[in-house]
Amino acid sequence: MISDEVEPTKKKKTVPEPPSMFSSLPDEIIENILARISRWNYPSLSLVSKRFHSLLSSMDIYRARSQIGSNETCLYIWLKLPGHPCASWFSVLMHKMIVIKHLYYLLYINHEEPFSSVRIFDCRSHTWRDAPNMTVAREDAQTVLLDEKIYVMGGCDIDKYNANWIEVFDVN
Amino acid sequence: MSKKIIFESSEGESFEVDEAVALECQTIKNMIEDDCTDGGIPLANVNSATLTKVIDYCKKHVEAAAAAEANAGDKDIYGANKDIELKTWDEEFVKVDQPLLFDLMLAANFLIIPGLLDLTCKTMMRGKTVLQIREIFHIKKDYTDAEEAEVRKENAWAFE
Repeated sequence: MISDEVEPTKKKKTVPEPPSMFSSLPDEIIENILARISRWNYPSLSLVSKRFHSLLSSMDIYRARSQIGSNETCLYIWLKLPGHPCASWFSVLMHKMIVIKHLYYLLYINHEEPFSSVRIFDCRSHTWRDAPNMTVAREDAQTVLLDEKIYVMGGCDIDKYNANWIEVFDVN
Repeated sequence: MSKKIIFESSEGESFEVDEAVALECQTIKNMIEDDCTDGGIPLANVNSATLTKVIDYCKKHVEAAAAAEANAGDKDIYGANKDIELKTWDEEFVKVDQPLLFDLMLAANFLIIPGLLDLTCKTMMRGKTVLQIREIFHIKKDYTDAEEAEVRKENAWAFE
């Protein structure tokens, strides 16, 4: 048993692992580790090194997370704080208080004036993207999510646009 | 009498295990299916200490799976207990020093043992601070102060 002879001297001097050990790991393994950590630690973990930051900012990490089924529930709130010029989205970690399943996207429709543009917020990566415009400009429309489809109703002149009073948007 | 498989560690030490135990490793399973395990399987990148632990893990999980199957009828009473017992066993299993944990993770990745990979990866960084992670894994901070401030700003949405 060669290892037994070598080990004690190694421990006495507390020789650390070769520094390159972790750095030499392929991204895939580090992703495997990071995907098993709560997403709420990602902002602080990004501070470890540039490599961590780039791994945690890529979509691959979210692909790895869904592969191993690590889901976390959170609540998104659109809030204007006193002293801040504009309202912002906030995400709140839920401690098993409310469980919202399969909600991956938030839809943002401008509520202040009639508008036809739609933006989608991907809750996995915290990024916005533009969705196809609605056919009608709407104001204060009602929305409902059913079977991965978002139905947008009202907010426009029903006489003028009766054919398009309701629109459906497939989140996929 | 079940078939035996022989592993050889990086130090050249031989380990004989039941085929059922070896089958826990996807990589070995493929080799067994391809019928190329005669004369032992050399594992040049797995040392004896790690291999002993890996075999312990596979043995335990084979036994647990067999026990779960035997008790499938009264799952309400025993099934849940078995799960908890195995979970506790797993937790104890990974209470090892960092280099060994590291080797176990690499072995699980190489041998493709999903349960062990999951367990070791989970244990690796969970609950550790940025400074602890840098220290344990010998990662150099490669940010300038300005760059670090930029990353902090980028993640300003995160309140803890």
